[in-house]
Amino acid sequence: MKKYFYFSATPESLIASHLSPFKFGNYLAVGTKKRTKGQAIFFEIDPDKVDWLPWDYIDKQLVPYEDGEPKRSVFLSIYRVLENLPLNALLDLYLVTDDGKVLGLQKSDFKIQEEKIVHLYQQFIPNRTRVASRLSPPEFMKFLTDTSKPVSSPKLFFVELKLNKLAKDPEAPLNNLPYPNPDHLRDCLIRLQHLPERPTKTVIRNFEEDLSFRTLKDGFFIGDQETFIFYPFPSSEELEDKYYSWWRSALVHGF
Amino acid sequence: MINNLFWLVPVSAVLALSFAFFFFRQIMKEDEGTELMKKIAQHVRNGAMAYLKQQYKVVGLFFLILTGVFCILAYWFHLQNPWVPFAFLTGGFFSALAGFFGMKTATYASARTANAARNSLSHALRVAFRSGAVMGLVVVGLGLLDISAWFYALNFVYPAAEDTHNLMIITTTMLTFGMGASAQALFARVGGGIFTKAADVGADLVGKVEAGIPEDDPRNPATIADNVGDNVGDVAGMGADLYESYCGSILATAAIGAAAYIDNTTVQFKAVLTPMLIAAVGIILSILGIYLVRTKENATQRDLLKSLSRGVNTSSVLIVFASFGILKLLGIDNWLGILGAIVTGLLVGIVIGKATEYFTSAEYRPTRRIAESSDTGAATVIISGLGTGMISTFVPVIAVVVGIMLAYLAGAGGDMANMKMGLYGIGIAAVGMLSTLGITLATDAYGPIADNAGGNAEMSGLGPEVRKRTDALDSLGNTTAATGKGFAIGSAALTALALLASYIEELKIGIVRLLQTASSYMFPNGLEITDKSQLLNIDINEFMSYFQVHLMNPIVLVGIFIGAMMAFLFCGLTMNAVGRAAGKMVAEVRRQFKEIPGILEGKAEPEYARCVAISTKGAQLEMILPSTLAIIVPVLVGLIFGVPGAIGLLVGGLGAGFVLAVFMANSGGAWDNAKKYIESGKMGGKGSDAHKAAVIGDTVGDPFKDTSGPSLNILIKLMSMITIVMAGVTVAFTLL
Repeated sequence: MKKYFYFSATPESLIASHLSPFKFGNYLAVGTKKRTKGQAIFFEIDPDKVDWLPWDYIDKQLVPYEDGEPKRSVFLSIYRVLENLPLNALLDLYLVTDDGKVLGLQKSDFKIQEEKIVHLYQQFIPNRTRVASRLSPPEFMKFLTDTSKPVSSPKLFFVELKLNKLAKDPEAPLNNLPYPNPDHLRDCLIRLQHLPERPTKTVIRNFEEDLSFRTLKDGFFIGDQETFIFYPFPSSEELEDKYYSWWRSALVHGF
Repeated sequence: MINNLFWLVPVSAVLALSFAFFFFRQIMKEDEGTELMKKIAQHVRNGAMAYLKQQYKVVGLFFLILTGVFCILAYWFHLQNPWVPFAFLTGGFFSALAGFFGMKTATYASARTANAARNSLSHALRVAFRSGAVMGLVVVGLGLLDISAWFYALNFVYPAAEDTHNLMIITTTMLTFGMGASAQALFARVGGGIFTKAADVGADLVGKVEAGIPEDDPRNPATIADNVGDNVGDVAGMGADLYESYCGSILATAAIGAAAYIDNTTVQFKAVLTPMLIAAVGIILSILGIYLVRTKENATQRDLLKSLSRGVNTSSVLIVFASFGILKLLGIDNWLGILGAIVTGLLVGIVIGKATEYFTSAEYRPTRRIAESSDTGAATVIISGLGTGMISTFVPVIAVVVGIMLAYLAGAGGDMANMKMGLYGIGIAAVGMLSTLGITLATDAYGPIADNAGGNAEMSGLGPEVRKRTDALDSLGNTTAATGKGFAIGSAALTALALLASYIEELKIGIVRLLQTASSYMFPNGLEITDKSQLLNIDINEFMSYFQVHLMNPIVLVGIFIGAMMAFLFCGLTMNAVGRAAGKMVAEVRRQFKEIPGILEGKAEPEYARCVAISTKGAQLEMILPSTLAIIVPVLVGLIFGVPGAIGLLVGGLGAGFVLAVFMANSGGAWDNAKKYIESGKMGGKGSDAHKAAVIGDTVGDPFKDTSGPSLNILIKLMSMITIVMAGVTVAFTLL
């Protein structure tokens, strides 16, 4: 059976499996007996680009079950995985809705917007902090992976969230943004606006809930001080036309 | 003495049934779509028919028992007209038949509508609306056919030309036909309401909330039951409800007309014929209106609404002109006043419809305020929904109050003392409101067909474009359904009032029948009469004073209290019934998810039929207690407290029931649309905390608007009907 390797961000772990990405995503979300549910975000990785994989352990553990069923998961690491993973090992990124629908995203170039606006970032690794920032995604990546500063990490994985009109005017209506404690979010944005010397402001220290996929803005960013990889998130029109089943499932999240 | 104009009544009825058949044939010629679409539609059809079969078994048994009781009362105790058991049976049979045809058509139409939506929105609208029209036309066609057949047959037995008393016998006997329709409607509404909400809540709680799968997902075992529920609750239930109002208003007005012109057989006959003729012309204009509902290709949502409004409004305006012609042709006294009463009825219907729209549509402030209150949690959503529902009773109640006074004055020719003609005016207003039922019911029944079409499109995996079109049709159906519910409540209030007035005539007939076996009859005030001729000349005011029906009599007050309590008791029982039936559904869906491997992956098919069976069984079991109470309480009140108690019961039931029904329907509708308003992207949209609070409000509102609220319409009419049918027993045996 073919061996697949996945780097999960929910939570951070490295997993080997016989399941292909779409089956693996479904398994992560709803389990074998479909008695659970939960969102998942993971990358497929190229094992040839990772030189520290425990192959003996993998060969021993990643074997089909006695009835011939493929092995669904063998956890290889659960600590500082991203830090030790070379960025060039990352293949496609997969977003799984809480009922097991899987959407694959491919890498692409990121075009930076010149306009000065406030951004909202949801970090996944090393922690799940939600931050408002005046920095663009590449700047934010550079800012937080600068290990010369006390608050930093060698690598970072995050996604930009929509702020709509709030990006320019913190007093603007929230409209279709399902963020918890909207007044607090507004306070954070106002504070950021009034303190030009401050590049970031924490909005939620630890975001514990599932993410509402419809709030994703441009896409996901993963990188370090030197470089980053961008996985663009499709527009809602494209999702509705090409990935309707996934999109509908994503929209009923949190019902 | 059958006037030539009478023949317009059965001809219109046959015309309605012919067009219904024609539309049905047209629908059946439409392609049902892919094999999967056909399979899903078949599941829904099987479920709906299994439900109807079970319901008709229970109701059949109930009818058999009641017919037996009526036979004993009529043939053994001679307290009722010997035709009553048969009239009761045919009323129930025709009401059930209308529900059967309507639901059969609706279940055939959903897949065809979904398939038509693959072509265009306007094609889908045509299929869905014509299917709804089948229900509308079958209801008015069968109703008027039954009325005209009974009228014709009874006219042979009791020739109207020979004695003015005969026409009173004919019309009051026909009223018992209304009780059959009422009893059947109660079971259809209560049973259907419990079924649909048990399935809906079960499907939502386990499917959406626990398993996280979308609405109408074929992996959800309760999804077919949910679709079946739309048909049994909103098509068969609403059809039976309005069938009963339609027949009840015509029959009650005919009975009041017969009593109002007791001294002139020719004028009396015209007064009896007038409500039937207005209804007959209403059928023709409804058919015309149905043909006006059409849109251009690539129609927008606004175009759809305009198109439906054009059909309904044209029929309503034309009925005024047509009634003008009929009344002039009949040469009935005060024909302009009668026309005024018809216009009043139509206007009251429109005002109630618009008020319902204002209080339940997210286009207006009340519903938006409920949505805004979701910011502070579920409790404030519940509080503001209850508050809005209570405030919303203001306009319909004032509309009915003003309508009653205007119709009374118009009927009485401006003379408040002319009570008989005034009450006739109120009855005519109810007939006017329901005259174009053929098309208004079509706009109601179209909603669940569009809803089912959306379900079929989703389960069949049709493209997003098709789902968008069926969603547009469904959204329009929600608007028309909310207006339809307001219309049903308003017509029920006016019909119940007309029935209350006709109760007096039924009492007179009861006393006349007593005098055939007894030498005299003594009123509660001590007055004794020995001959029926003494009775016929007593006016309503005198009659009420003989029975001591006034507010200083504690028995009247006791009746009022019991009547008001009945509305709440009935509501509470039906609400709890939904909770229990939904609990069983939740347990079954959980069991299937747990025990059938592969359901959530789409590899194994859920046991849909078991969920349908659970909802069916739950609905049948749970409807017995509230329905039996609704039938037994008026009988007991009549036997214990006599006429003053019975009239108090009807007044209390009508007053509390009408206001409570408006409150429940509007609160439920407003909660539903507040949730949809948030889902459209306001207050944080789907998935936000505000949305979660609004979903809780909507779940509370579900039994409000789809079970208890609509069932109250029937409760107030059924209590009136039972009291009328039991009038002979009430005057013969009274404890107090």
